[in-house]
Amino acid sequence: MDELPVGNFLPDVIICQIFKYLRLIDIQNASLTCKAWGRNGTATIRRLQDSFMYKKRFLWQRIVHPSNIRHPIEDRIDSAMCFSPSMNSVYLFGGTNLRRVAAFNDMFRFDMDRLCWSRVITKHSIPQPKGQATMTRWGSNCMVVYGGNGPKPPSFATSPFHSEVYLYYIDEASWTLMSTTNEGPRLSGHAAIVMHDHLIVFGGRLAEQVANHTLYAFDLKKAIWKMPKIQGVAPNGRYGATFVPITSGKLLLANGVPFLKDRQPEPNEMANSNWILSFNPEDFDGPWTWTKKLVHGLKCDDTEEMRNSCSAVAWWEYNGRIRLASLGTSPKPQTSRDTLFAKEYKNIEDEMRRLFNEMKANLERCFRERIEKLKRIREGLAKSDDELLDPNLSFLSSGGYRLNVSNLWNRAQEAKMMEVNREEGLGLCKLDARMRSIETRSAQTTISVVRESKEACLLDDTDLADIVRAIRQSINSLQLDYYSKPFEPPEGSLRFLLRRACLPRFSLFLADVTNILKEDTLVWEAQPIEMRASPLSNRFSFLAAKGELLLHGGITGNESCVGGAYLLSLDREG
Amino acid sequence: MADGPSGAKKCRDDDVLFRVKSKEDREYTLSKKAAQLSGTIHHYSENYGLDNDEAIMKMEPMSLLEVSSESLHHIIRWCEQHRNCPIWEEEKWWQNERDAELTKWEDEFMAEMTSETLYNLFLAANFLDIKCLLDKCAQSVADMIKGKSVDEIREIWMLENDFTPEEEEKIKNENPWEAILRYQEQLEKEKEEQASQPAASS
Repeated sequence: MDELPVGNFLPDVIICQIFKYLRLIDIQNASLTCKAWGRNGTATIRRLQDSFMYKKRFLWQRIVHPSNIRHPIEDRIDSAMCFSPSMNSVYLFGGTNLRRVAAFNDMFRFDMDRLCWSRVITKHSIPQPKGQATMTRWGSNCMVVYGGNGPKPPSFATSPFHSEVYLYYIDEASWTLMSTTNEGPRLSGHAAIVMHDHLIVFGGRLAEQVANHTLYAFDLKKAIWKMPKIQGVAPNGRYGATFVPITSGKLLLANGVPFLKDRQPEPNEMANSNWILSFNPEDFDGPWTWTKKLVHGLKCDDTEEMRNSCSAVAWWEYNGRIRLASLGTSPKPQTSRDTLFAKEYKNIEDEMRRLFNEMKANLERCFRERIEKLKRIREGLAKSDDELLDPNLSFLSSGGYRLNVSNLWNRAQEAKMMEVNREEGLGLCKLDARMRSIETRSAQTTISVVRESKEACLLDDTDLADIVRAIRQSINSLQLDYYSKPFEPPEGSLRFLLRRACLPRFSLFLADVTNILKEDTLVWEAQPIEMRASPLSNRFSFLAAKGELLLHGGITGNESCVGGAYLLSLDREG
Repeated sequence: MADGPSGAKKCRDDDVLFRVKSKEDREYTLSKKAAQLSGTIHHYSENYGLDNDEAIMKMEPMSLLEVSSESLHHIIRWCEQHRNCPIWEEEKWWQNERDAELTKWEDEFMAEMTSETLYNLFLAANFLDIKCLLDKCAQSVADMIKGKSVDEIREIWMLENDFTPEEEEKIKNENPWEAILRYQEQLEKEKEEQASQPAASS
């Protein structure tokens, strides 16, 4: 025992303290190192699992691609998403781009362990490209993809709606088209779930402006579409609702936006009633009933915008408890939120300034040194051969030169390129800077200043000013990118840009529906708004994984993509 | 730090020195404010009537038998740096602006540590009950564990595998995160039953 190193004998309190800062996968790995860590790791995971059922505070985190390339998946909306516990991954199928001009039919996997996307190469016939389809799990290895609508066609045609039912097998990464005995409805934006080997479908729309008020059930074993007999009242059709399984034969239809022909939905109308669907799992031909449940506490500003949201409710279950999460606007007064953000933006602005000054100083120093050297070469004071072989400096055929200022940016971690071209006569800087966000700072910055005139081969103050301006622009674009807004040529001060980037944020709503069968009302609890939360958007996908929630896609009010995914993990402080 | 005679009031505060003794019987001093960061010293001073400056000036060195000189040296550095820090308030979490310089100092402080000194520091901080240091230690240890494989963690943290092969197998196979979907299990059970029924009948 004496030979064992001190790490094996850390007190439990300390090990637990360390685990507080780790994600599930890291705790699992750490548990396998030695007995003491294993004991604490297992306990921590249990606690984490429990607290996923009752803890209220979630922390937001934006997930961006580690390199600077914008992953194609980040700008996609209306995708169908489904979580697979066995792979600990979220699968994403299809979706459309921003203006629904193009639709996709590829499959992506989001690894919840490593938090990164990868494309899944699938086999056999692939479904039609479509958005607003649903993907639900059937057993541990199979997912059912149904419905959806294709891209927006030219103005005179209607966009195609699909009734195809596809099975996707996770193990084999293969698709199977179900040949159905009778043709099913062509739906998109519906609620769907697999229960007792039946795909149960409700709501959505049958065509652009046609709501579906009918409930359908598809027998996955016999491949038959059925229209269950409804006894008593039934809810009207709605978009973007979610089915949550409560117990065997009981489903909760949560949220969704009503379809109104003559007027826009009133604010808060979207979710003022939820419904319980009950049926007999032994006898699908028997009567099915709907029971109304009132909703309290959920608020969403922009109902019209929300109408196309896919699966806006995430649900999870453990130990007999069922929890829901949804996103909406904070019920707290707007002003407090604004001050909060003003503060946050000020921080960013300060950070930008600091970065800018740092880089400017570095550049200036570097340029001065080089210019001195060049002068000395010209005057014959220094040996030109050695100096010209300076790896950072190279002459261009146009008479300008390229200066590689790698290692200039001290905080830099990754390689990046920045090119500055000076247009003759106009004195403008063109800039192609691919900087994703403040977190992924660049390391290798190559600035090449191309000048037309051969005489002026020394950099002077005007060049420096150009470069500084270029950097300023790049920082502005970085700023815009940080909030995932489309790039526009920056005007005015940083502060002005920041104001414009100040979008309202989502607030998380949580509800416990364990006893919903006995209660009349579903009560949502709003959580305090977070600085790092996603901006208010619609047409996103939102679901629960192990101990974490994932939000993907969505477009903001001014018709731009949110870009990237957001991870909501439990705040385990205290 | 204590002998800077700048400002009469501040100087007086800093003159009140707490005396502590390490495991190796070496004596160290730290200012009263810095000493208050430690829960253990705080309790000690309450219990031994060290509530006024005079009593502290006359005190016998408090012996910390669990703490080595090296760790104590680091801890005193930490405490002196943090003595003027406001206490973290949970409710005002968004208003608490972390001092950028202090954060930088903390990062540098942690970067100096080897894994062994960090462990000892961690243990000492636990013994002395210094919350901010504990958090920072846990954070830096966690940062080093993140994204590492089992063997890598063992190597970095000098952990010895004291599992028997059976125990290791057990932990590996027993996934603590049980199936999230209860109804999913039911479905699978039903499936099995359905699969077994026709076999039995035929």
